[in-house]
Amino acid sequence: MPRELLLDARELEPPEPFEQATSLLREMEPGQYLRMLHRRVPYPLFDFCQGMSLQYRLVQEGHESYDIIIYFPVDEYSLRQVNLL
Amino acid sequence: MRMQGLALETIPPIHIPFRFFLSAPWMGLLGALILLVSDTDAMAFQWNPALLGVTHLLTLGFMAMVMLGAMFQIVPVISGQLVPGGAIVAALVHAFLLGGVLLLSSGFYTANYSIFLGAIPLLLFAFAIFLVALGSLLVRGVGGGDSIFCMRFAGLSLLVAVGLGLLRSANYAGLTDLPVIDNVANIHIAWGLGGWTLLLVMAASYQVIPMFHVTPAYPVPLARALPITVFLSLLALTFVENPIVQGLAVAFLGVAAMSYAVYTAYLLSRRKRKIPDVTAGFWRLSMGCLFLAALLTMAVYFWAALSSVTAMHHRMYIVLGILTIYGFAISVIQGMLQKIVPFLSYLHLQRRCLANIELLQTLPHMGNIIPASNSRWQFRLHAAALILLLLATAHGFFARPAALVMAADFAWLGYTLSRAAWLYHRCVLRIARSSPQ
Repeated sequence: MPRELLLDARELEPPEPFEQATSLLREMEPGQYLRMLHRRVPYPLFDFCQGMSLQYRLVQEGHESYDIIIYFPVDEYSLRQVNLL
Repeated sequence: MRMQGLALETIPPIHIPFRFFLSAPWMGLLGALILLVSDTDAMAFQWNPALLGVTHLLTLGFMAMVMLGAMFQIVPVISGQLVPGGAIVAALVHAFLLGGVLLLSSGFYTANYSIFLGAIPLLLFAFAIFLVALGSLLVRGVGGGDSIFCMRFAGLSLLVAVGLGLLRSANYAGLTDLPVIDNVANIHIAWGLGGWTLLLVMAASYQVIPMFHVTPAYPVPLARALPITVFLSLLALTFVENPIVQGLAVAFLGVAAMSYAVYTAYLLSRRKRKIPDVTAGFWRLSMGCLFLAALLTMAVYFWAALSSVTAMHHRMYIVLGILTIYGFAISVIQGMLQKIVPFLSYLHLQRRCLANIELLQTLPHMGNIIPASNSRWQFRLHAAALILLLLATAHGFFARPAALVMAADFAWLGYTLSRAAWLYHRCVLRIARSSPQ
């Protein structure tokens, strides 16, 4: 199963969530995925993911609460196996 | 559930808000310099022509300049709709506003009101173009929640304030007789400051306080009730002559402003990360001044209703003006610029790096675009200028020191914003040179 990198950005001021997420994503390798908890939809980060050929999945868990998974396409099957996608 | 996020596909080019933000401080500086060379008793009477010139450099040249630029930025991003006309509309509004403010203020300062004949069409074009472009978005069922809801009332208030202001200017220039509404100048001030300015600050705060300061959101019932109360109170003050209704309207307006100030201060006290933040300090200063101004407005209004106008009263009106314009509005605008300019710069630079993601690492940190030390000095200069301006209403001795510190306040802001824009431009060139052809 891919290894999770967790970033809880719910209490970070912009653009810290973007800066920390891109820093982690640049180091991320296949076999790893980033789980990000956020108060808002991080649209700029999704642009970045497209540029890096990464996939993402966004789930709204409640008011001002989003659970985002960012992963390599090669890991999609494994993540589906463990119900993360 | 509504997705909390900004529609960045409709983000306008950065030169649109920046042209407004970068011009505004120099209008404030010009106002301070006029105050510096004016008689030291210019602040003893609210209708002194030099003081009116300074006031309009601050309200139109600084405040409206930033507020219009911010609306060109924020409305497309929170509503997800582009402003019709795009960059051309913004450039026209900026040019007409700049020219109009300079002519209007020079007309006041020289007491040569024929200059208004040049100012009136320029200001009319500036605000008409702005209101048609933004209004065409705001009347549609666009997204944006409480902020857009509040902005609609702000836009209507601007329309009334500008209409009355132009009517009054035409009267000064000898073009019209006084209109049927009594007390035009005071109603113009009420719609300009109590309507347009207060409502637009409210609308912006519904977005920026939770976003930049990581606080809970304003409750929807409060966020909706405040602009409705403010707007209905202003309507009653303008059109109902019954003194009891007018008294109630002043009371409702004052209580709405004070409730907003107290709730905003409460939200700021609930910041999740209690790290030092100059912008939060500007917000607290602004809300403190708004609270005092609302309290004083009610006191002066009910006192005036019970007594005759005295020299003390005139000074009270000027204290009110300083608290509202310099203490409430300019504080919050300066504070927001410290956050919004670096944020927009970073956002646009980051998007330019998408073609070459490695360049992201070379971008300046948001904290370097406007260093915290610059922001701290901005706050000190601004607070000192505010205190000296208030003292100058009591004694002319403080008028020149107040004007000097006020000049330093705006010059420092102009320098800080120009430095940020220069840094942005340098990064853009570097990204362009490093990107694959």
